[in-house]
Amino acid sequence: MRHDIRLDGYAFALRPIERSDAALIVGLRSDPVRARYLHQIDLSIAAQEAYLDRYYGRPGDYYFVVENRATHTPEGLIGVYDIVPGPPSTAEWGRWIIQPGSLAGVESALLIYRVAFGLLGLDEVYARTIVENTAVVSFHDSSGLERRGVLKGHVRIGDQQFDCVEHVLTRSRWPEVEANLARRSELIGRRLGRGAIR
Amino acid sequence: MEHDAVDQAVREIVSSVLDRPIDPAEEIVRDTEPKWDSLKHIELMFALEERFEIQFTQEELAGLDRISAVVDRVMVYLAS
Repeated sequence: MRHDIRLDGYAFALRPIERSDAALIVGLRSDPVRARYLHQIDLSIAAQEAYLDRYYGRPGDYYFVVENRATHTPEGLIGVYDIVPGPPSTAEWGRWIIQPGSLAGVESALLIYRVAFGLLGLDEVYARTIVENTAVVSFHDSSGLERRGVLKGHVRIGDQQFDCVEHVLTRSRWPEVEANLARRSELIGRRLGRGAIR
Repeated sequence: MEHDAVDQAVREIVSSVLDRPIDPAEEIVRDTEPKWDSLKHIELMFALEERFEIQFTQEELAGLDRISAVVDRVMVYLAS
């Protein structure tokens, strides 16, 4: 959906995705390593523009570009979507892809949680990660999320069906996770010359 | 500091951060190590900097992705 949420972190920021970011989507998702555990998409700019046109009309879907604050260069994508009002109000976060060599991973997760809990007032967010995507499964574990279970055959990529680990973060656990992610994000921010922002 | 001492110290730090034993000759590569996620990576890089009193470049912070490469870079810093 169209939204105007912009959120600054230490070194990185989230901004609403624009139609002109279709090429960015294609570029990031064309990396076979980075995109191997994401849904396959039509890798043409026209198809992604059409996708974004449909996205703008879809309520409860917030899609962002992860930007370097110093250079305003896009370094990734992230989103929170499938919002259910509740109570408890819930949403999934994902579409997470960060360009190789970027340090934006940790802070982009911190920022999407701040959107979810701080700005959207959600009670719970969850992430579903293909079991074989061990780096991301481990990231959620390391962040302090709880594993809710495994969804059998939840994702289909090409002709293959994959199980997904579902991690959940509730509002009550959010302060602890926020502190964990913020500590690392601040270290990166200091190194990139952006430590004193917040 | 000699190469073997650096190698051992790096392995101790990697072992501590990844919370698993590491054999003396074992190569650990980020892409194939399930626990080497981006959060642990940051923790690891800053722990190495503190231990050796060095400062990696931004590219190194993001790109050092295996024990042997870490040891090589640390050796370069310690020699300079």
